[in-house]
Amino acid sequence: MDRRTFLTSAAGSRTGSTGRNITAIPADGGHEAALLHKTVLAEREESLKGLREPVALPRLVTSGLDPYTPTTEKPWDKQRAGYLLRRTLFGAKRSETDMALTKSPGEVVDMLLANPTPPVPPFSWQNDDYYYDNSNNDQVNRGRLQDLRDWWTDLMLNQDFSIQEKMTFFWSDHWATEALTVRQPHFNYWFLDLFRNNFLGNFKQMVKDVTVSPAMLIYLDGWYNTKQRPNENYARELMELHTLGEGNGYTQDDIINAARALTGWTIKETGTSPVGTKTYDPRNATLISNRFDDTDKTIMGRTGNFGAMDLIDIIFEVHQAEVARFICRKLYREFVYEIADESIIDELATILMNNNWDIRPVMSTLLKSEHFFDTANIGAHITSPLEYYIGSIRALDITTTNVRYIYQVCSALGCQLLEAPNVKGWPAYRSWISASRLASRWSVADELILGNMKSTPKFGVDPVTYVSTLSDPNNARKMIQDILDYIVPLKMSTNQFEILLDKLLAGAPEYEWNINLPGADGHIKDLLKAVLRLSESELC
Amino acid sequence: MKRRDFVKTSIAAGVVASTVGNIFDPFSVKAYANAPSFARAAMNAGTGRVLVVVQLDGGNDGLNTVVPHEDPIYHNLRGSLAITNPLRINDTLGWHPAMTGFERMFNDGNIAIVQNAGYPNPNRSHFRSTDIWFTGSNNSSPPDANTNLDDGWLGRYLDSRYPGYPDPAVTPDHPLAIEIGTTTSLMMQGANMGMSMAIYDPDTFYRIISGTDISGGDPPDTSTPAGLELEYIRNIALEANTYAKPVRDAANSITNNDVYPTGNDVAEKLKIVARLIAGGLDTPIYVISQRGYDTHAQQDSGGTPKHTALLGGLSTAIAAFFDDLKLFGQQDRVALMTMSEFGRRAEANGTAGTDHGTAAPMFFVGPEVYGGVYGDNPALNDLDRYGDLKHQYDFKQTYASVLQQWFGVKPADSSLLLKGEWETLPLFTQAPVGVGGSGVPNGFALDQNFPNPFSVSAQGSTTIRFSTPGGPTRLQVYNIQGRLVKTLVDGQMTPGTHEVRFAPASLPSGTYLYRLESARAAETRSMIVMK
Repeated sequence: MDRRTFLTSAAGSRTGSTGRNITAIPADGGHEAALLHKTVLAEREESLKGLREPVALPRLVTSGLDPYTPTTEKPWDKQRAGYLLRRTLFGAKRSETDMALTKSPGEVVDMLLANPTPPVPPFSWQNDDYYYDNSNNDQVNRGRLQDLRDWWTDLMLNQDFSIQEKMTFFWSDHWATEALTVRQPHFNYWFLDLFRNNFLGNFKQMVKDVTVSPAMLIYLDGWYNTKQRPNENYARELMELHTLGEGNGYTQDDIINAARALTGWTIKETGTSPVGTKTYDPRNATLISNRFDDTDKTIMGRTGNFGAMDLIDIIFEVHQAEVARFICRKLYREFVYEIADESIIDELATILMNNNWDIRPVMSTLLKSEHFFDTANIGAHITSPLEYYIGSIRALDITTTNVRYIYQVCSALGCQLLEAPNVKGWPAYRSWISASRLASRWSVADELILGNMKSTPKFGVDPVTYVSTLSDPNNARKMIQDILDYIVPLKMSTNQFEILLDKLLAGAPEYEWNINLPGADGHIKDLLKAVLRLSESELC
Repeated sequence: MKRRDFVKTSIAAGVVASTVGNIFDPFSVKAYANAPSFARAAMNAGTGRVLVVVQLDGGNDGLNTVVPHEDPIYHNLRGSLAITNPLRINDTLGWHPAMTGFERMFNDGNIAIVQNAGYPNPNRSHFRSTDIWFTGSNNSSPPDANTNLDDGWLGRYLDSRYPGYPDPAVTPDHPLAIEIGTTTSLMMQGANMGMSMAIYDPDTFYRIISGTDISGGDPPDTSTPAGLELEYIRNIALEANTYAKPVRDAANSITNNDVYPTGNDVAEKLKIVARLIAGGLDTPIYVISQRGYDTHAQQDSGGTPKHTALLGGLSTAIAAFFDDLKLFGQQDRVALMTMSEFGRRAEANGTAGTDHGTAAPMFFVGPEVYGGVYGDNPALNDLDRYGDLKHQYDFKQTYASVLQQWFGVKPADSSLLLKGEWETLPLFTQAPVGVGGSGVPNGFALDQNFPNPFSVSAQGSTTIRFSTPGGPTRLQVYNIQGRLVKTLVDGQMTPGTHEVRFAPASLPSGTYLYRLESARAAETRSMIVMK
C-alpha cells in the first residue's frame, strides 16, 4: 500500500505537490477535523504562494485495505479485540472480548456483520393506523414514542453480537429527524425499522425508501410539496446531506427542479378515527396525482417528466462516484477516524459501485483491513454519549432494566434518540466533548460506580464481583492492568499507572492488597472512578 | 422543518444537574503559580470591554423584525404574514410588536440597526451560511484562499490577543471566552484549538470538576489520529480544571437583580453572563444562542406564534440584561451584537412561513453603541432571481467595526484577522483607551517568525525579525511549559531592525514562545516547530 499524505481543504479533493490525491475535508462538515492539520495547511498555503519549496507532509496512517493478520507488533490481544468491538458495538463486555480472542479477527468481523435474529418489540401499536387524539393532548402517542425509545435503548444495552444496532443508529443519524417535528411515533417506528432491516443493505434503495417514508415526508415538508406550491426543503437536503455534500454537483436550479420531481408524495389517509380525526397508514406513503407536477424538469443536465424515483436514479447515475465516495467517507468517519484518507475512500467507493450499492462488502473490507487495525487508529474515535455511557455499563458488567434513565442520561450528554439537533444530525466528533459535557460525563460515570443515581431502580458496578474473575485480582498491579486492558483503548504511562495504584491503595502497602479485605469494594470504586475520568476513557 | 428548540436541551440538562448533588467535596483547583510573571503581565493588556454575541439560529426573518410597513410591496409579498401594527422606529420602519424591550432601548439611543447585512453570492444552506458568518469566509465561486476558512473570526482575534494559549505560561486567570451551553462554536475556533469554553451551570460544573487528577500522562504522539484526539481531550480537561473555580467564584459572588422575565431561555443565559461580568471575571467574549428561527411553516400563527415568542423573548431578555448591568454599574463596558445565518425570502411561502433567504438586519446594543438605523430600507423592488434581498453591507464590515472600535484593534491587524480591508461603520461612540501599544517606545517591534510553522527536517531554521530602540536587548525561546529553551540575543544592540535564525536541532514538535525584551518594553509571540 502506498504511503499516504494528508492535507486538509474544505474545498474538496485537490492534487497536491506529490501528485496524489490529498485528503480533503468533505463538504458535509468536519471543521474541527480540518483544524487538526492547520499547521500542515499553513505549510501548504505557503508553498502554494511560491514562498518556498514544498515540504514533506506528515503522515498519519499508512496501512491499506489488505486483510489484517496478527503479528508480534500488532497482536490480536485484548486491546485490539476490544477496539473492534467498541467500534462496532456499544462498548465491549469482557465476555465478548474473551470470546473474540478465541477466533481470528476475520471470523469475528464476519460474526458482527451476519444477520441477527430480528428483534421483536414489546408492543404492537405500530401496526395500527395513526391518528391524533385531541381529547387527551395525544398522551397515548407520547407514551408510544417513549416506548420506542426505551426499546431501542434496551436493544443497544442488551445487543446481540452484531453491528446491527450501531448501523441502525448510524443511518438514523445520516437521515436525521426530530420526533418533535415528526410527531407520529408510528412513522418513527417504521423509519427505524427500515434502517434496522437494511443495516448493511443497499444504499440506493434506502435513499428511495427514505424519500417516500412518512417520517421524512413530514420532517422535511414533503407532504407540503405540491405542484401548486413546490417546497425545496427535502430536495436540498437529499443532495446536500444525504447523497452528495453541500454544493457538490448541483445548483439552486437543480434543487428547484428536483423539488418539482418530488411533488405529490404525502402520507396516506385511511379513514376517520373514533375521535373524529383522520387516520393514516402507519407505514406507507402515497402519491396524489393532481399534486404532482406532470411536466418536464431539467435536473443535472437531463430533461424529462421525472418523478421522485427518477430523480434518485439521476443523482446516482450522473454523480455515481461522488455519491459512492460521500457515503463511504461517512462510514469511514464513523468507524475509523474523522479525517478520511481519500485513497482509502476511493477504494471503498469502487467496492460499493462494483457491488451495486450494497454496503456489506464495503464494511467487511474496511473492518478486516490493516488500515482499520492500525495501532495509530486505536483510540482515535471520540465516543458518542451512547458509546461512552452504554459502553461503560456493558464494560463493567452492570445489568439493569432502567433503560429510561439510560436514555435520559444519553440525552443530557447531547444525544437524544430520535431527536437530532437538526437535519444534519449530530455533529459528533469533538463536539461531544466540551468543558461542560466532560463534567457531565464524569458525573454520570461516578454514578455508575457508586450506584447512587436518583432514578430507580438504581444500578451500579458490583466491584468485588467484577474484579474477582480477573487473572490475579489480589495482585494490585495485575488487577489494574487487566481492567485497563479490557476497558481503556490506549496504554497508560508509568506515572498514570502509579496514580491509579495510589487511588486503589490509598496509602496502604501494595502487598496488603486483597479483594477480601474489609472496604476493598470502596477502594476498587475509587480506582474505577479515576479510570473513567481518564481522558483516554473518552476515546475508543 | 423546525430546528431543535432550546427547551429540549434544557430539560435534558436538568437530568444531569439533579444527579450530582452528593458526589464531591470541593477542593482547590491547581493553579499555575509558577508561570513566568512576564506572561501574566502580557495577558492583562485587555480593555476590560466585553462583547456578547447572540446567535439567532435558523435564519431570522429580518423583514418581520424591522418591518418596512410603509412599503406596499412588503404587504403584497407577505400577505397574511405581514405585520400591520409595528412599534415605531421611524416613519417607514417599525419593530415586530413583540419587541417592546428593543423599542425602549432604541428610543434611548442604545441600539444600532445595520440593515441588509449579508455577503456576495449568498448561500442558502444553514450549515454553510452559518460557517460563513462564523469564520468570515467569502462564498466565492470558484473558491479562493478565504472561501473555506476553518477558524472563527473571534477565535482569530483571541489568538492574536493571547499568543501562545493554551500554554500555561500565557494562560490568563479567566477563560478567553465563554459560551453558555454545552458546545462551543466555530466562531470561537482559533488556529490550533477552540478559544472558548462551554459552561451551563457554574456551580455544578465546579463541583464535578474539582478533585480530578489529570496529571501523569506522557505527551501524546500527535502524529497519530489517536494521539491528536487524546491531546484535544486533555486540553479540555485542563481548561475545565483551570477555570472551574474562578468561574464558580465569580458567579457566586453576586446575585442578579430582579429584572428578568421568567420562562425565557435567552434571559436564563444572559443572567449567567451578567453575574460573571459583574462578579469580576475578566473574560472578554461571551456567546449565547437562541434556536428556532427556521420558520418554514406557521411562522407567526397558531396558538403560540413562533416568531412572536422568539423576538419577544430576545428583546425582553436583552433589555433586562442591560438593566441588570446598569444596576451593577457595569453597563458601559458591555456591548451585545446579534447575528443569524441568513434572512428569509421576501415572499411568504404556501404554508404561512418563509423559506431561506439572504440579507437581514443585525443589532448592536449597549450604552456605548451609537444608536440609529444604518442603511436603506430593504429594496423589495430589486430582488435577486430567487426573490431574495441583495445585501447592502457585508457583515464583515460590522466585524471590522467591532474589532477596531470596541476592542481597539489596529486597522491593519483588523484587515489580517478579517482577510481584507472592510470599511467600518461608526457603531460605537468612543474608541477604547490604553490599547494599541501605547507606551511602547518607538522602534520596538517583534515580527512573526518566518517560515511558521516550520519543519526542522525540511527547512532547518526559521527567521525572527525584530526592531529595537537600542541598548540592552534580549530574545529568548521558551517551550510550552514556560521553560527557557534557547537564548538567541542577550546584550547591547544598535537601534534598528535585526534578524536572527533559530535552528532547533533536537526539539520536540510543538508550540514554542519567543519573547523580545528591551529596557522599556517586551513582547511575546508563538511559533510552531515540526520535525
